[in-house]
Amino acid sequence: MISVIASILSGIITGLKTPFLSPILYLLKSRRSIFLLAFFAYCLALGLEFKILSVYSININFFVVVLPLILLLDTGLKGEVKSRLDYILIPFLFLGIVFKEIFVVGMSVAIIRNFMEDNPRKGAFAVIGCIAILVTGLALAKDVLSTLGAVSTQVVVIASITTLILVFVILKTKVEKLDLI
Amino acid sequence: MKAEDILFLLVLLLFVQGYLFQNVFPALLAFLIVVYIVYLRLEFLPRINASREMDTKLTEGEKVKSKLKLKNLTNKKLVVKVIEELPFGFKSEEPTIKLGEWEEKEVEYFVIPKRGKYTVAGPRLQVKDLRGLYYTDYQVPSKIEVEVYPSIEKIKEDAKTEENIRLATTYQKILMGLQTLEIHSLRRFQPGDETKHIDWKATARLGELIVKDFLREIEGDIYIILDAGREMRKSIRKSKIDYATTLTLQLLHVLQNYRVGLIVYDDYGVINRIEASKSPDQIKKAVKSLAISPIFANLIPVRATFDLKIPDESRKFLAKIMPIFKGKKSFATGLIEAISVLPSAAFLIFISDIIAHTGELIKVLSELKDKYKILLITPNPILFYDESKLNKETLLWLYKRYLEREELIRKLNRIVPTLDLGPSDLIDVVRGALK
Repeated sequence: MISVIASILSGIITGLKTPFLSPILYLLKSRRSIFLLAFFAYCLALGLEFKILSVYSININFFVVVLPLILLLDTGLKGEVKSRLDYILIPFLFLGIVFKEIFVVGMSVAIIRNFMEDNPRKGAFAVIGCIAILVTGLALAKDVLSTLGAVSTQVVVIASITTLILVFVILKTKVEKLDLI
Repeated sequence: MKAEDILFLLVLLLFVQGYLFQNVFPALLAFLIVVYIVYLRLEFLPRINASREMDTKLTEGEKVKSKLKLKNLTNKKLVVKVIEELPFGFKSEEPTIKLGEWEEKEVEYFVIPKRGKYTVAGPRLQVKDLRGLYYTDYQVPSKIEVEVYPSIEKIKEDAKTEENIRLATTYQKILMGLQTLEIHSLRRFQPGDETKHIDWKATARLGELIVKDFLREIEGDIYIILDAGREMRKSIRKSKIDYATTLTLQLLHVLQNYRVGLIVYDDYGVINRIEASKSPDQIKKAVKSLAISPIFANLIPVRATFDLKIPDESRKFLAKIMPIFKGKKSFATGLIEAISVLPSAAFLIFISDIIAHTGELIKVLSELKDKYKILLITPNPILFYDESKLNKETLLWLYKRYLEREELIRKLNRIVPTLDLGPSDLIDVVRGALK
């Protein structure tokens, strides 16, 4: 439930309309295949509405939008796991309407709480590693990528780093994929 | 399509969107989704321990508990789906179980077995992650030898029905029809009674048809000789052996007031022999010897094949070495071995497929008919054919085979009374044909 409340609040905070569709996604979570398709459309819609013109000009709004989205995806796939901490966090998220930083901190706690249930090991380090690689790559190429009109180049660089990570992980992990339906 | 592939497609489209719309947000979002996938892939390392317990002596059609012990050997929650790969004809529940971290669970679910002797392996466990994106298969290292016996209760229930009571009367009257001249009693005429037995004086006196009931004698024992050879066990929709074992048990139930024995033979020898007895345990003994598994086949031969092109010398050679291949010392076939153990006087009910070893069956029946009173019951394979596989060509082909078979039945009828039966006419055709 916290994922939906957070998504709606992110819409209020950033003035975006798409996050208000999140309750529909939440209601569809009982049917995983339909949820995934709805999430597919939701992300593309959000991508059209929310604009960032350079990775070097990312502000707090990016985190306000993205963090509830990740939580929404995970809740949709895994199902709702109720926790007392969520009830404590909800007032702080509402405070985020005034202080965005509180919202981001609250969401970070909610996400950590959510993934801690998995007792993560390698996965947690991999997440930190992936983000570190991207940040390092973008920082190293700042001179080339921060020029005017280099947005497409930034996207290509992000896509390249993502592809490399993905190929590496796919080769390293052997899993059988479940069918959508 | 796989669930994960939807996310990959989304990632691709987000990158395209970011590139075309000069927007970094979709690209960053795609990156985060990939990070999420990486996290899930690396965290999915399921390890479980499982074992299964199950009774080994089962009854056909009766639910049996399969007890599965599961232990999660990781600190991750898992979802386990049980997938049973049971022998053909078995039915089973396939529960889905959630296992917590290091959790040990016992799950019980039902399996409905089918008659025969089987090795039940597995089950296969599909171990999934909580998000339903990945799975891994785990085969439970268990192999249980089970023997599934026909259900006595079901046979008894069947026999209790009116139809079966009438069948019983028919069997008793016609199969045991060795009447003496001594009158036992007078009774009302019933459909099926012979008109020559009507007592006209009593009829005139009482104003309704009265017949004489004669005392009956039974000459020797009754032996049911059941063919459990390969042809009888072949199955598409329902095997002939299923039908034949049901019929055998019904006969045993119906004839329980007589000394009835059972001989079960296959292509290579006598599998089981139960001496003729009036013992109430006779059916139970028979049930144990009737745990015969059907063989799943795509096509059932429907006529006898006389036109083997193997030269005589080769045939003789093969006939000699075949029993050795099967680990058998004697050269006699199952049918010959079955009749060799018969007592000097008995009523014989053969339940056999006339397709396999036709020549031999005819020869045996011809030799025995003078010495014994014989009835031959043969399940017609055409009537056991799967309707769903019928089309114009197969129908025409089946019809031709049916006519050929009819001819063979006519030939057999000249030797001994022969009943050609299908899966649904267990009762009606037997009664009708016997009349």
